Amino acid sequence: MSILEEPIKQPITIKNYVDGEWVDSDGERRDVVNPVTGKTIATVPVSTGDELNQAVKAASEAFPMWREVPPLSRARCMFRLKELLEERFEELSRIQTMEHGKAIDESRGETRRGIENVEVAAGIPSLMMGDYLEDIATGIDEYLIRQPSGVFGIITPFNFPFMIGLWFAPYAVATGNCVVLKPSSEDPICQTKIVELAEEAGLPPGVWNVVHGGRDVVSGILDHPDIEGICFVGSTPVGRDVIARRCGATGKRYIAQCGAKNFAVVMPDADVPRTISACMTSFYGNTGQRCLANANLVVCQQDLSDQAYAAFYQEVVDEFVGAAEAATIGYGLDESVQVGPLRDPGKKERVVGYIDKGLEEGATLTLDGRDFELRGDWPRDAFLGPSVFEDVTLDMAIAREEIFGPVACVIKARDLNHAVDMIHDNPFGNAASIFTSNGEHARVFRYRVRCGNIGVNIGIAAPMAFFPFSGMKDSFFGTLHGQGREAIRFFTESKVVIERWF
Amino acid sequence: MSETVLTASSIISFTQQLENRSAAFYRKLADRFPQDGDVFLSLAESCEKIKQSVVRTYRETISDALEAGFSFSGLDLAQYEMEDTLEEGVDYPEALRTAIEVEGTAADFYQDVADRSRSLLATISMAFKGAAKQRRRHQHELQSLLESRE
Repeated sequence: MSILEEPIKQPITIKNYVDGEWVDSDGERRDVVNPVTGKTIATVPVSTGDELNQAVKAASEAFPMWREVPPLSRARCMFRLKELLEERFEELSRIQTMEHGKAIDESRGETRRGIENVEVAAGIPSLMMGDYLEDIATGIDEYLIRQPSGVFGIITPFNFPFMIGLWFAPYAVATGNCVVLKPSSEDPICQTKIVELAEEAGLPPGVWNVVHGGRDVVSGILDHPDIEGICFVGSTPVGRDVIARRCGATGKRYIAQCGAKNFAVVMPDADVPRTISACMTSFYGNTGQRCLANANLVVCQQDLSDQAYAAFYQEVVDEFVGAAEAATIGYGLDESVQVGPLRDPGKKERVVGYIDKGLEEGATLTLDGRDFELRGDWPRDAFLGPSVFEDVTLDMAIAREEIFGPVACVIKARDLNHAVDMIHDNPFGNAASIFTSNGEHARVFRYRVRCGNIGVNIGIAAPMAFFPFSGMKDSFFGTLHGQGREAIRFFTESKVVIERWF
Repeated sequence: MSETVLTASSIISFTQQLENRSAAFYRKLADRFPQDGDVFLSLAESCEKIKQSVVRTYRETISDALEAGFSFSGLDLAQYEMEDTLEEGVDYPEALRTAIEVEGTAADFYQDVADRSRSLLATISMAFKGAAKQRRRHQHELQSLLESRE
């Protein structure tokens, strides 16, 4: 199988995009490294506080004019942006694979989901409409208007370099706000390409700014008095202890979508082959670096005798391990590859640390991902195969903590209630899936489980762009979520007018 | 094109190669047998349209949440290798028989992947089914042509 052509031939010098200009930074530059080849494909600046301030100033100055642009005209910008993204679909997808490592199908899927948010935001004339009620008292009418708030900061993570910025920015801009977006400095190329296309789509200077950098830029965004709100996707400690606290202190609204430890519950009445297929993508897709990835596979006994349960458990584990073992690992631009590398060797080491910890805690490593066959002659530095642990108990770190890598823990449950209790015992509440052919089991699961995104015979319960990307417990901080109507509400103030004419 | 493949991306690439090759084959037939050149050029155009339809459907519906990397396990593309070689001096009925076989192979391929892609979105499976139907239509058209020439 041949390798698809790489769209980046020479290292790119990434600049900030501020007030419609590409501007260099006085800060140091960092390498953006392809995790497969180990080669530098771009350099990105670590911008200074002053450079961030310039971007916020540009956004603040653009806001009064931009909010006056009719919603239909703003929608047309979104339509044009969508068309430009479609034209560059393949290039953008391959860039994701180069800068992040994910398999090409996954990158194209990410591109599609990102574009879908632009499509939904293009419906802004309808989505932003208010409400009107006549005669709330004699001769008095009352109505609600949704108005843009100003400037928003968007801080995106490394694991979805294309899509996550688009969970927020199109809605912010379409509602008449301006944004300053800081991509992950590990894989910032896609967000740079997107803003190039936003410019081409006709967004005026200052409306959509991109400032690259690290903690100083994040701190600057959090503390800047002219930023109305923050959208953040990243780890729970940062979301809870930094974003939520600082935004609380400064009065900013915020969306902080954070970590996860998701459970997939397999009932005895599940369609096992299709369950396993769904689980492969869920547990090992994106090399496990996904907040919707399932990590704990709970096999339920329910009404089975001990003997029948032993056979069912073994069937599920054998098929799961067999499929995981067969996954092809390599460069995502090789179309036969199903699992790419971790984003960098450091992240691999962290995952390997969890495998070691699982062994120390007494779990059985049924499939050892440290020993894997690599397709292609690449350095093995960031690659890791799928691992499967059995004999896992809920108090073990591998069962409780977010590993963010291709490691599955198989856990036994007496029945569905026991499985739900296990989910509730975990501090996270991002997603959970049940695999069953029994409607009652599915309903009980959907009704009781305290997680933001529920999958019924779905491995990755990823909400479409017109639904909010939900989350509960330690997986989400804030009130309104990204995507869809909740994003529209987040990016607008509800103003109520009560009107009487004498 | 004979390696074992498992991902949706591989299947789409195979489809593109299959349709490009089919279109080239029909353009060659149009050159060699100009008496039915219009028919062959129209088949070549149809192959291009099938390719566009399948690729567009894939791009519009692919999602990172689908089992795209794991949906085609067990598929053996070797059995769908096209036998489209036209020997020098091949007579017209023989060339038509080769074309009918090409269409049969392509239709079988699309039916197979349509069945296997049911776990992806319905649109993908439907695009493959539509392609299978179209290639069967080509096959019938060529069969009628052959019968009228024999």
